[in-house]
Amino acid sequence: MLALLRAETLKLHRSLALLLCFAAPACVAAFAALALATAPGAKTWDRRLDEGLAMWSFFMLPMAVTALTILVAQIEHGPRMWNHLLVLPVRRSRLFMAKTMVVAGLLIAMQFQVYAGLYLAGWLVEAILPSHHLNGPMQARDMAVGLAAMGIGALAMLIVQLWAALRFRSFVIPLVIGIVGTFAALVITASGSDVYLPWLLPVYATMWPRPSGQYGVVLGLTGGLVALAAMLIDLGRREHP
Amino acid sequence: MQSAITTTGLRRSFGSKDALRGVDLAVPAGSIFGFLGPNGAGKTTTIRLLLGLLRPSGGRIAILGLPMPARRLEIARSIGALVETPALYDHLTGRENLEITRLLLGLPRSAIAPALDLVDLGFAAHQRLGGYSLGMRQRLALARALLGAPRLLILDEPTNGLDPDGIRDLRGLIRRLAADHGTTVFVSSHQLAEVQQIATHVGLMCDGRLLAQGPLGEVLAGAGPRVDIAVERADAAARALAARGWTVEQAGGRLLVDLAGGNAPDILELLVAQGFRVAELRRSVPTLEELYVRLTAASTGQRRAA
Repeated sequence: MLALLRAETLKLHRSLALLLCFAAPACVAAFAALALATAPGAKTWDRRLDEGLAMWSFFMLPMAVTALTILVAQIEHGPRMWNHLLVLPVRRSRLFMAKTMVVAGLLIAMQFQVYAGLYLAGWLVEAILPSHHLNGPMQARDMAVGLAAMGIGALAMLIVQLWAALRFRSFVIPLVIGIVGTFAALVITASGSDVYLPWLLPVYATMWPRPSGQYGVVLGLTGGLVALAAMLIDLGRREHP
Repeated sequence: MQSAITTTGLRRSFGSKDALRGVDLAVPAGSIFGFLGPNGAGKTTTIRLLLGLLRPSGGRIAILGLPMPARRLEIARSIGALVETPALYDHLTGRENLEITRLLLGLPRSAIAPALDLVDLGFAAHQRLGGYSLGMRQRLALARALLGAPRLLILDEPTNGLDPDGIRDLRGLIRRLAADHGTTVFVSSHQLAEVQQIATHVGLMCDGRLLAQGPLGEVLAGAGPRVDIAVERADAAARALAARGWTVEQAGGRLLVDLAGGNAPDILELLVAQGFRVAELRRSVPTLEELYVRLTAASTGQRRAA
């Protein structure tokens, strides 16, 4: 499996997928800095961090996962690489498992960057605009726990998006699924309904350790594992005409 | 001779369309097998079945003595393949492209350089594929197929997009692989004249059926001897021969007459008796292309009659 992971990692060199993994969290940090620099009134770390987390979990994370899975899958779809990969002496389930692990690794990397980016944004604005000083505790531990829970809660969404991206050669289908899922999550949240869509689970997960946060983490993890098993079976059996 | 590939009654349908209608293929080990036919004949479908990318609708496949797809992983360790256009990662270098396959095959790092040298691409190993010509890409894909020194090399239309120099180089490489390494090379193509230059064995496909197969010489000889005649008033001479039951083809100002059931002096005597001046008459063996046209015409005629 280690060789497969190395091969999957090598494919990411100079790829747009890797670029996206830096760009998406950087956007969140930049927006957070902008909000901090322009918002009136007293400012506290916990308020600003919560705003940053909300921006990431509601919108940027689902869209980044949609784009990331599409870009990773297109590395193979674009040059019709399946013809080559699937005739090699490697079990197809291991091939797709390695790809899933690398994409999950990129998700973890993005969560780390959001963590670092939000604090950097706060310090940067404080340094440039001393009047925008942030008060209160920095909540470093709570922030780390929230992002870790969000990452686990995002697993179901990640697998569903990756499955769609690998299953269809055209990027339009996974893109539509991602957009519909993201906006459905926004509408459901606004309506106050208790519906657990994969795209909404990372939002719930940030409320850890409250009950809705636990739902988000547990459903994200179990849903992700079930979706992973279904994806490996489906893609492993699929023909390539 | 042991078979590298054997198929028995191999069939494959896509919905209501039959792409393969019972193909019995026998590819001897160590041969260069030209798998020939026009676009849509079923060549690529056969190759996809041989590689396990598709499952057969019926029939059996054995590769290097093992059943496919039941023993796919074992078989895949001994096969190198190039299917249709060369699939490569454009954002990586030539060496990185091979490195990915090397990792998946579990080969040592040292396996890459000889493969690149074999296709004369050592000089471009660290260039990204954006700077590669189509011929270089094809050679790189071939180098990748050769990683791990496979016993069986399956090439689907490998000369597509290659210039004459590239085609000549590929011919030389295929000959070397078979002669020096004992590799069985199964090469599909619609360029019959090209394959005739390198193949030791051929199989001719048309409309999902295998029309003929075997050693190249035997397949061509099996088509029956012909005489190639240079004669004045070729049109009239052709009509005169056809009226006496001979099968005649016209090629430019010359006549090609099947000798089945007759002999050359009979033809000469008939033409002279009818006042035609014969400038040249010689026995000829048909080319693969001529044989193919004849077999497909017969196959099409049988289908129409049915």
